[in-house]
Amino acid sequence: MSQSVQRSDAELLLGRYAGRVALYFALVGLGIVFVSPLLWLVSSSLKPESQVLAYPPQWIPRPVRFINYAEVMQTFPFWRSAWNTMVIVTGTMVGHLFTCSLTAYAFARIRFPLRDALFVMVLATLMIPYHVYLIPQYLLFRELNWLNSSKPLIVPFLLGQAPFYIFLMRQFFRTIPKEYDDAARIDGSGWFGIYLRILLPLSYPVLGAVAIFTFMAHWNDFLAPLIYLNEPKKQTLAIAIRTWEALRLQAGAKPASWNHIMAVSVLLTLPPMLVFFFAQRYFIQGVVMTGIKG
Amino acid sequence: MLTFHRQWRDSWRSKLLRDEMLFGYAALIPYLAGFLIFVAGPLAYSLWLSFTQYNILQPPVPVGLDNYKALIEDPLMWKSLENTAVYSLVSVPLQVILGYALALMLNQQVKGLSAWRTVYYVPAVVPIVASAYLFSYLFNADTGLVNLLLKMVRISGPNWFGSPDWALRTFIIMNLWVSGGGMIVYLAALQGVPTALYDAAKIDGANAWQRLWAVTVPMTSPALLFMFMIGIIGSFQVFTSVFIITSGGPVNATLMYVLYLYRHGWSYLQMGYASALAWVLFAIIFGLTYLSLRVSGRLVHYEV
Amino acid sequence: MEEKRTLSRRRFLQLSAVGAAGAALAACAMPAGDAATGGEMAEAPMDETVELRLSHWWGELITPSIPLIEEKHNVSITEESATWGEYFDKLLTQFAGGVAPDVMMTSILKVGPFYTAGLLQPLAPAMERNDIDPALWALDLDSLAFKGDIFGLPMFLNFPLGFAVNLDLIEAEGFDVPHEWPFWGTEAFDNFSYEKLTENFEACTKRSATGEIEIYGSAGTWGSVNQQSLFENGGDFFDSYEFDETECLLNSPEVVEAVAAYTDWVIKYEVAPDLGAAQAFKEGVWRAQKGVVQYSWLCYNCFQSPEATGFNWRMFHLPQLPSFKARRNLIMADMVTANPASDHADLAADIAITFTTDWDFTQKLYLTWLNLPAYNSGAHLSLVEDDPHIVEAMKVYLSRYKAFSEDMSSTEGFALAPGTRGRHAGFVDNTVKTEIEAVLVGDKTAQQAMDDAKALIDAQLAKS
Repeated sequence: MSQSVQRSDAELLLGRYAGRVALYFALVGLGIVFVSPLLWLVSSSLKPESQVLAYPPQWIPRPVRFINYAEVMQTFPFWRSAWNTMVIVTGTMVGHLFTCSLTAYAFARIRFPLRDALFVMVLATLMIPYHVYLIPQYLLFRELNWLNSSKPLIVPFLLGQAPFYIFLMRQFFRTIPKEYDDAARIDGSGWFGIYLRILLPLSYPVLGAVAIFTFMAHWNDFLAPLIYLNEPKKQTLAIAIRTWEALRLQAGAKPASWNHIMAVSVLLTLPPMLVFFFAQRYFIQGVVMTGIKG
Repeated sequence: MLTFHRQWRDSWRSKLLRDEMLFGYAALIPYLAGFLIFVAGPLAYSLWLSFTQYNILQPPVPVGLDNYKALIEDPLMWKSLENTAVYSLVSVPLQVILGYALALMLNQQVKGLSAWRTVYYVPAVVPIVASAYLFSYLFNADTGLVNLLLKMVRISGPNWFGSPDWALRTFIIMNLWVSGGGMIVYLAALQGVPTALYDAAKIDGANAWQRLWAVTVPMTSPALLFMFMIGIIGSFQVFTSVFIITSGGPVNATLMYVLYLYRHGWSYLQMGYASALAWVLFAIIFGLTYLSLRVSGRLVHYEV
Repeated sequence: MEEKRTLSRRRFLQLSAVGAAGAALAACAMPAGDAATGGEMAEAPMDETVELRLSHWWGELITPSIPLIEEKHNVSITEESATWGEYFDKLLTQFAGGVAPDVMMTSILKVGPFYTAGLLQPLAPAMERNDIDPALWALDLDSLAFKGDIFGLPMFLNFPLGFAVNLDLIEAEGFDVPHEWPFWGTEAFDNFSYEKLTENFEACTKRSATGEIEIYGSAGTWGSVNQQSLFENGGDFFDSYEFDETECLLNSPEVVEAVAAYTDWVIKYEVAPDLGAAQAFKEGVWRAQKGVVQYSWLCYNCFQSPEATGFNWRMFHLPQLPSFKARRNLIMADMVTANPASDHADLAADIAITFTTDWDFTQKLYLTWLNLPAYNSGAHLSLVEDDPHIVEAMKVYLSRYKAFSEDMSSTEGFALAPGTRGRHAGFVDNTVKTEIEAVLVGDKTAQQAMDDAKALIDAQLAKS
């Protein structure tokens, strides 16, 4: 270790330079591995059918068939089901950002008897597969007269029934130095004030992550919407797409080939990706604002 | 209960502590209300169902411990548990290591941070259904990109999802692709490590490797623990990708626990047995989580 | 820092406000009542139309035809659509909650548990009420009846299996086919052998210099085919198909021979795609022109003109297995059933009848996807007369049915085989699938696999 201290400046600089080069090499190499499946996805979605399975693999579609998307979107009510999905996603996101963060705050910062036991209970609810309490929950929502509405898909989350996000935010809150709390207390903030004025503003990165995770999870949620929503006009996007795929077989129409399937996959992927780009700003803000790092 | 009583009494005596305690409970009211209304009942009901024979269409018939006894003697249960454990215990650590390595690299003040972050994170944004389609296409034995590329360098690629030997490994590879999900959490944590600590370590003469182990890892250990535990909890319940790509085949090579549970509940109409499977899974995951919490108790650093 | 913090808090609140507004909007957008769920269906006043719920897995394919039913029965139909893979999950949940729809599409594959739990209405009275003429029914209704009751009517003609040959591909590749294909109108139409078929497959399989298969002689997958072929070969699934089966018969020599015949195309002759390769082509090996002969349910891919497939093809009929014993088609019917617990049980049954037999309705419905309804298939054939290619395909399709066939010899000895897998359909399907996979990857012989399948299924039967 002391070697590095004794190195000459030039050596240090050189070593540093080599390290940087190696770092960028690694980043580029891994980056290619991570991104190429996605590029392949997008490229395949724009290919004509004849090119989809060509050897050697062709990265550039020729000709570029944007019409694949039009063909796919024609076959199911894209905009309506996207809107239905949006409604559910928005509702759950509000719940996750507010209720879950408040719950996480209590678990992370407040001292009260039974806290850890209650937290273990929260964690435990993550460990039961949904498939087995689907029917019991269905019976419950029937009693509430909530079947065939999006309430079963939203209200539980408004009340924070998302242990994953509580856990995530609790872990994050616990890494924020307590000195900030104490400073705020001296300024006269109460516990809720600390949550609102200290913790939340310091937590943009994790709130951004929660927003993205929520969006992804509920954008794609398939089973619960299928069970609770009856009418086709209430269908969510994931269901509409699945229906479309199934119907190609059922209807004896020309079955979808890979280019169409990939186009559908891009359509499914695009909105969460947009949310990611939007939320990115908040990751960065969080870092800048806290002034914790460099 | 005795400790609870004492804690309560102690807290009540000091106004400061009392306020804190009362705020704590108040803050939990929405969550607890939701839990009691929407979750507690159904969970209790499913626990009860695990002691019954329930075909969904007719009322459940209590059968005592029969489901649990049958489960122990069910070879496919063991097969699915083994598959799931291998999948989980191999893919989660790999995912954590890769995700953490990525986060460390991106934390080196690289140029174009947000672009890099996007590159690595974006796969994790791809919906499971879409990535299931994508991977069954990529890893297709005859026509998939992977084997086509291998063919160009004269390697005959395996049958991936279609091979009993490779199918599970292919799912593990597929899971590595979304390591960026963890990376973003680690990155957030890394950016929360006070610079002063690094400076102090440098003054103490620690090299980069030592700083990593003495400062970085301990300071970000809550995030690591979180991703590890969430990874275990989630991967033990893996379902959608397997359901779409292989439905458990070939020859049960990818028969995962929850898929098996799903079959029993919804296809074989043995919801009582499925519930028993679920509660056994719960015990397993709970045990593993508890274990990682205990082990990490000494290793994980929290602000206290 | 302080300033920045306030600013971002405002940002945060703005963001949340947008979210909250969205949720509020959404709440407004939701229909006020949301109570249109079954079970608590309000008693309709005299002057208002009755509301009934109809569930199916056909997405929006049925929607255009629904007004015809509404008009005929003076009802208002609410469609509930779920995808095939999850349809029964949902229906089961609804039954568990006592809120199952009034009219339900079901499948003979899955119907066992519903039937045995008494959740389906016997339809004989409604058929009588609606003057249904059994002579117009190509299917043998008896084989859909269980212990004398018909509880669901088939929607479209029972699927026979058949072969579609890509003629353009044979010509383009210059394959030298040793035996003339038994197309419609040829001598061999109803008289072809497994050996000849296999030789033709071999002649149509193209391998690269390194031995990899580039074009498969047989594009078919083995899955569904086995079930039919084991019946043709004189085998059986069970000792009874009345949901009281006590023994699985899958290890009989007939079944084992049938399984071996089809798995051999993959593992012995190597003329058909293996497990991985079969998934390679989302649109099917045949459609992708990577296989010459498609072997599948006729209705799926074949009722399309060559313009739609992009190449010229012709069809022929059932294979002749090594010890071919009978011309038997598997009943794989999608059915329409009525809920006996419906507030309007009779009406629900009437609608099930209309759905499957009404000329106007079925004409409108089936023309959207070119398939033949079970009821009065021959009359529907006239609707597609202007496309000779499709007409030929449909004639092949109908050739086993005395009522409609132009080739009477092929109807001789024809019988329907039960499509039901009994009380444990899901278990039986998964078990057979897994065991056959074991044959295809070389773990087991057909005999071993079927012995194991029998043992597992018998154990399951013994439990209940």
